[in-house]
Amino acid sequence: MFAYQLKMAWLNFKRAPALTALMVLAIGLGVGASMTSLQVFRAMSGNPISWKSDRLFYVQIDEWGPGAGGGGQEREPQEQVSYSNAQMVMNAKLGKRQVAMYQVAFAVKTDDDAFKPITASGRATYADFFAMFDVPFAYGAGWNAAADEGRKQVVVLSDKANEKMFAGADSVGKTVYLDQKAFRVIGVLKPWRPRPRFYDMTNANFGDAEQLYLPYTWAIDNQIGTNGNNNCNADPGEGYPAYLVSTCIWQQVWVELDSPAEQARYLDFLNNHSLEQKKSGKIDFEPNNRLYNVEQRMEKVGVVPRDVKVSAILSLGFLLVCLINTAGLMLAKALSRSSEIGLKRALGASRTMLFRQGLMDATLVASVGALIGGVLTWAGLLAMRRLGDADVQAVAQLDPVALLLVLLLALLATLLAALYPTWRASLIAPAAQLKSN
Amino acid sequence: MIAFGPIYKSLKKNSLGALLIALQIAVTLAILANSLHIITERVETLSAPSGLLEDNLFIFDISTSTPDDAQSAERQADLARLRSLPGVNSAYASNSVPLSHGGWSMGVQISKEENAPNSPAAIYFGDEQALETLGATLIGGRNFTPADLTDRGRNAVTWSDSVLITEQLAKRLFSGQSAVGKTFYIGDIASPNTRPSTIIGVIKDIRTPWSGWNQSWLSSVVIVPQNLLGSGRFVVRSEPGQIGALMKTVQDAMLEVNRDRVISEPKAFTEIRADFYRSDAAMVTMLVAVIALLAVITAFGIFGMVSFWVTQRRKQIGTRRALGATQGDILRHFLAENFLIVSIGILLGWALAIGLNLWLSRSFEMERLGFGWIMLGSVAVYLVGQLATLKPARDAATVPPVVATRA
Repeated sequence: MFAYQLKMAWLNFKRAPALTALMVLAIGLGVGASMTSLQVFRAMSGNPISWKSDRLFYVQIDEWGPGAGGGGQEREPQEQVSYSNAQMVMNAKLGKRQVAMYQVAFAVKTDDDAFKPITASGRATYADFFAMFDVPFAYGAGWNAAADEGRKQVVVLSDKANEKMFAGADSVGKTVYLDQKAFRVIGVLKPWRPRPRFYDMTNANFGDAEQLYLPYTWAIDNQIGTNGNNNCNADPGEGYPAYLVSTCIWQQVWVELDSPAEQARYLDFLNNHSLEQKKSGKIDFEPNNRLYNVEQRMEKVGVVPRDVKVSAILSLGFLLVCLINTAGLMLAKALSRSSEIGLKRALGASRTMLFRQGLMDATLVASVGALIGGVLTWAGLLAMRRLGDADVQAVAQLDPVALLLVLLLALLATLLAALYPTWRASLIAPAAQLKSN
Repeated sequence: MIAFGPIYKSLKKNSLGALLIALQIAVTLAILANSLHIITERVETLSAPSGLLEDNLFIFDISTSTPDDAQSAERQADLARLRSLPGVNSAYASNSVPLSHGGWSMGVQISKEENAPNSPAAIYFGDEQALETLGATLIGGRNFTPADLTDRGRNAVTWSDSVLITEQLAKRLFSGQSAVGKTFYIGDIASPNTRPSTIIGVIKDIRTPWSGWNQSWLSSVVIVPQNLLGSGRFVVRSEPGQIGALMKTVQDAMLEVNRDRVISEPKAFTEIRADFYRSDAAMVTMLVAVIALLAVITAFGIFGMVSFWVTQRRKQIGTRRALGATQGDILRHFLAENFLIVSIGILLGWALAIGLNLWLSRSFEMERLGFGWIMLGSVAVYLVGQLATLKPARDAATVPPVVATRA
């Protein structure tokens, strides 16, 4: 029966080729356009560390107070923290894991004279970084707490950096020079591109992860400043030591906490610290601190750009137009076959049978439309990669799950659009149609 | 004369098909009007001037790890080398340029009293060649001379005695009075390190590096005559037509000064601008494509539906023709019928367009939709409807009266 229905559907398809092609094209275009922008939207709003995102907390400490702007507890504290508050968290060691970190950049050389030096972005961070964010290693491993203590000159390379500097080979034990200082490679990462780059959304939301990682303790000892965002509410004074004790904010701090109870306890700890600072006169406002998990943090930052949201809405509207269009054409096509349907009914075909045949017709149209939609989505994402800004370029890629989603959605939407016309056609009475013509 | 009786009857008979077309028209109009609205907004953004002469201008960065005490000499050598290259018109060292996203911002205030006029401002470092290189115009006071220039170390906090500022900043701080010769403070007014800087000249507006800034200080810029030592950005104006050749050779030329450095790929300012507005330009392209496809889909949808109606009603058409209706009557019947359906769709579309815009403007801080776009969209939709109906309506008009007599 299925084979017969499919054959009939194909014959119906061929009998009105222009009309059918129009329907298929409309579905294809609607699906292609909407899926392209939805795909970008999905990639941008996705949670890149969903399995533990509710246990990772971004620490925000109010160091500046309400200032001239006023505002109470509902005012968000600053986005980053100062060196001294970052150290306060690191020294307390109250979380299961904790990292303070900041973005850096170095001129990088290797022992290979043929390698033309590059400027590489890096992250000065603590040993816990790799375990905390489940960073995958291809070779070697991260450094340990002892290396943090010892301010060791060790470095972990990203897959891309390793590709550039060592042609992708296992480079553990090799030497790279950061601003002319020798560092030993102790680990190389597998491709790791969390989107968004959740661990530091102040500096770039969708940029690539850094090319190298090195101990924060070494960086501070060697007076390395950040090449990322830095904000001062007061003159820090001359020189690096003055900068370190200033209220300039330029670091990101994360803690890993296993339970809501621990989270509450940790917030208490932060607030007590602020209270003490108030008592000692360092600050003159009430404690106002936050612990946001990854999803809350993404929401606060508003990672999905406005344009991406607006495009998604408009392209869904476009899909709606395409579906209404298809429904209309299906109705026309079904009704234009009234006499044939009437004849079939007279010959004993039941309404259910005719309804099923109608759905089979629609499924065939939908399937071909979905295929075209899939190809157009791929083309659309290709266009987005050419046209879009860096953020969009980074995420405009087709993944298999999304492709499956495209096909399913096209199928469902078209069947939905076909439901009424098909039902309407199956209602055609046999007698009336036999009379005329 | 259009006969409304037959239109009413045929619409009643095909009410569902007509309703679907009207619905399609409504959603089409809502998307069309809002898209046109967004497109004009973006085109306005895209065509905003940067204040620079954008052709023949490029930048590159030098990352150096030369020790602090040798950096001043290295900078002098770099600038001398750069300015001696054939094809270079002018060049200077800085931290950033307009529209490049990254930059340095400070608060400025005209006195140390609280609530004195103040403004956020972008800081660009530069020297006596900065204005010529950028193509910025001095409108009051004087340009820097080599005597104004001092070195600025990595962690220095003091600002120069003399500065240039943009017209917008001058207006914000001194509301109408001439800013030339006046002083202001850069940065933390509470700090003893903060000394007054004298405004020696005012230039026509040039843009800050950022996109997110408020319109009222989008071109609020201070040019500081300090050599920011260490790694830096070099801004170069080439002689007309020589930018291509210069961009190819400049990296090697600068390496000759000191091989132990990384010189970034030079980037033309036209490319910086294109990158800055990439997402706006992409939005415009996407919306234009959506509008074009909408028109095509809707036109074909109407075409298909009317063609079907014509086939279905051949007999009635023949009968009307036999009863004396002219070909023109039949043609007008279908065009009028379409006009009516589209009108219903447009009425619905107005509501949808305004609703969609309300939602978008509330959620995304967009401007409210002007009535002009709704009207323009409506006219466009009428046109699409009539054009799509023309061919099937003509076919209908050629149905011969004799059809009425056939069984």
